[in-house]
Amino acid sequence: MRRAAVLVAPVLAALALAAAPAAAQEFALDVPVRVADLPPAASVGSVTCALFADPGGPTNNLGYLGSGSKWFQLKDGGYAGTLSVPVRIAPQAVARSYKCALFVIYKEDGRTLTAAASRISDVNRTEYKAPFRRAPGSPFLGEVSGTLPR
Amino acid sequence: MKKPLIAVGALCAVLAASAGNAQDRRFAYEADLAAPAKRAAVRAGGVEWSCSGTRCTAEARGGGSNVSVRGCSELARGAGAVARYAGEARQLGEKELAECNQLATAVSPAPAPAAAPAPVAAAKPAPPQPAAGRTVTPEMTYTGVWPGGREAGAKQ
Repeated sequence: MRRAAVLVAPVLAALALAAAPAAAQEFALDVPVRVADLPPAASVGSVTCALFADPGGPTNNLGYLGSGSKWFQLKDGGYAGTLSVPVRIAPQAVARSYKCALFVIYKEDGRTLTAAASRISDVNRTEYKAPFRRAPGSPFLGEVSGTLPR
Repeated sequence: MKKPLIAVGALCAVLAASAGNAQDRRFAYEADLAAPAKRAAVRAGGVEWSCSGTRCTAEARGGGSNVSVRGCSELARGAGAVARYAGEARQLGEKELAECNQLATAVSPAPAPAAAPAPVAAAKPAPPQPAAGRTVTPEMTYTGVWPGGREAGAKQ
């Protein structure tokens, strides 16, 4: 009886290990953010990053692995700091590129709206209100992307 | 003696009818867009959406199970940035909306199944491993025009 238990235990342990979900990898993207002179309607901003297995993923959308977001509170219409954006991907996945986008959450007519900074600051898009325009001549980078080292 | 039989039969009929109604019940879905829709009809989240102006509506089975970030991103890709995405049972929060719009612009996820399954209480996921990688991106910068003095003639 005791011998049977000794034989069964390793089998059970092996089964338990096989059944346990594999741990995800957590990737971190440190994203410096500098936002200023946004209207009071904007109270929160966020950066969302996606990882790709394809080096050209940010442009050809191939090999999407996962995404993650990080929020920041706007104070007096501004924020300056570095956000560490966590992105979980499958255990065996190999990330080769990333893309991050800046978002602004704002209130309009009692509704909460989310918009990509690259859209609401586009001077050619007239659907957004004037306060969200970009300051003329100011540097702007609403999306960043790049490849990751092997 | 016949009365109990009739009562049981009626009860079965009522139960069958109510079960049928529950299966056939269709739920309303609504989405508000940040700008007028690019297309009038979009299939997203396993649901056929009709869009007019900045409002999209749909009807489908499953009050909350079709409300997902993936479905939202499919709608955003077809109709434009989404500001609100809701079913009768639930709606996406701000964080989910941001992810929805980011997915729409950044990636092409596989299409959602026709009837998205409800979240399953799976085995507790293993804690994530320490950072598999870390990288520093260029600085994201955005300077607006508030309080308005920087841009001549800016409407407030």
